[in-house]
Amino acid sequence: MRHSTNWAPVIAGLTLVVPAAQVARAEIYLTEAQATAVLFPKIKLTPRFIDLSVSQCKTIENASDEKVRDPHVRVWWGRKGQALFIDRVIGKHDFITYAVAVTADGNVKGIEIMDYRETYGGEVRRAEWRHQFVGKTVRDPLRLDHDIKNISGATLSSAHVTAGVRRILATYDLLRHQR
Amino acid sequence: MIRKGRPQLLLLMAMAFAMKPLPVRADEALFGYTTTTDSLPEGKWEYQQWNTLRDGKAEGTYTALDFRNGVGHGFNSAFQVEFYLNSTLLHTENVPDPGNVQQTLGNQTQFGIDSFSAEAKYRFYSPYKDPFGLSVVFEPELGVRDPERGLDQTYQALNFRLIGQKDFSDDQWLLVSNLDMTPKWTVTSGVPQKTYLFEYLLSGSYRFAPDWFLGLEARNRREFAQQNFGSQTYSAFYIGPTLHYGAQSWWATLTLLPQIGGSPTGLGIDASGTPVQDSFRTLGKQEKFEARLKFGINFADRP
Repeated sequence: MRHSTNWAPVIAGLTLVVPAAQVARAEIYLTEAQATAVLFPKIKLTPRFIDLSVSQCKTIENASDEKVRDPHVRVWWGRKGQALFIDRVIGKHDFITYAVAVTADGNVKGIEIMDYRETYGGEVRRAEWRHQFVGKTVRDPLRLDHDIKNISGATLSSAHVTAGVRRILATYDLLRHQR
Repeated sequence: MIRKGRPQLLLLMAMAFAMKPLPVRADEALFGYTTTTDSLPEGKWEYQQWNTLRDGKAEGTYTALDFRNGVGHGFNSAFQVEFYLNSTLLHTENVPDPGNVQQTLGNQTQFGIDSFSAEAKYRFYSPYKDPFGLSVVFEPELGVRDPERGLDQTYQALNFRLIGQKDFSDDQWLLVSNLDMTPKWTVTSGVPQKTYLFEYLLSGSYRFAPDWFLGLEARNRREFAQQNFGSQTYSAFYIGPTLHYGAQSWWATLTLLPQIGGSPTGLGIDASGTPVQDSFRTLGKQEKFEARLKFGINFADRP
């Protein structure tokens, strides 16, 4: 048996749910100055931005197993060879901007997530996750599920940040001999 | 008998509004028809609404709007379960019955609940940290109405889906393959039937701007009568573009999927002695054109 049905509830179901959604907003947590102050609070840093050559990019890629997407390196140097890099990696939908502080002997002093638009997976900002990178050098594997723990539901973000730090350490290793 | 859809729809709408959406992004559908290996994070909930237009037969006027409303939960980082209520708004005029083209489906405009299904998805490998992604889906379905013809029908179906995914270039490109097999048992007007539904999908997508993905989906759909692979009822090929937008707490995906070819193209002779056929498509149980708009909201505690 068949009979007509009012379409109104169906149309209402389609039209009412959609506007309930929220519009995306970027989450900016730290400016460059704030990141510098947090990671190297008592050290004067001098900006020296570098455009990597093709051969330098290849050297970094070979050392880190990670593609150099932007040859323009934003780095601030300390007098003794300390460095602070501000870099970005691809998130699931947008870029994740982060800062990596490297000591004069090439160890990670700390990392800070400066700008994170992938709101879920914001655990990458948590101190305990970021603390895993402290002391890492260019000789460490820096691989997810090896020496860096994955974040459930944010595997892509945590994998890309981990790979980004690996690339930064390879970049530091190359540049510190050319300062 | 027609089931009244209004209370169920209102209930789902009320659930959607009662739960405050908070940002979460896992398991958003990048494709309309193809499933990726992603799953919900542990303890997180989502609401999905699929709206599918199926339009055009060999003769007459045929328009169907399928609505699939689902609520899902992630039990751990690799396992999720989703519950779906499936319904259809169907409009037909002088459309030959694909089961017997000597008669038509009758002129009708009706809405009804078709089925309820529960989908369990388990991910073995993640494309973000493993060489490729691999997930399996198992979805039992209990039905009370034929969404293609609008007839009362009881059915049980068991959908098995194997999902493979390979990401490239920092996960900006992805290639996804789905292999679907669905044994189905139906009873229509006391007549039992059993079939296999088979689907293969191969799709790719590219993140061309922050929050936006553009891709292409290709699908082959086949049915086998009597659950015998030697008795193919039809095979239909579809291909079309897909566009995805993902905001912080919601996402939407639109896919346009015209049928580009199929068999059999001839369905038989109608009551007036005219062949019911199309030049290159199969239009018995399939349609000339499909389009799907998916929308999802994720609910989670802010990390």
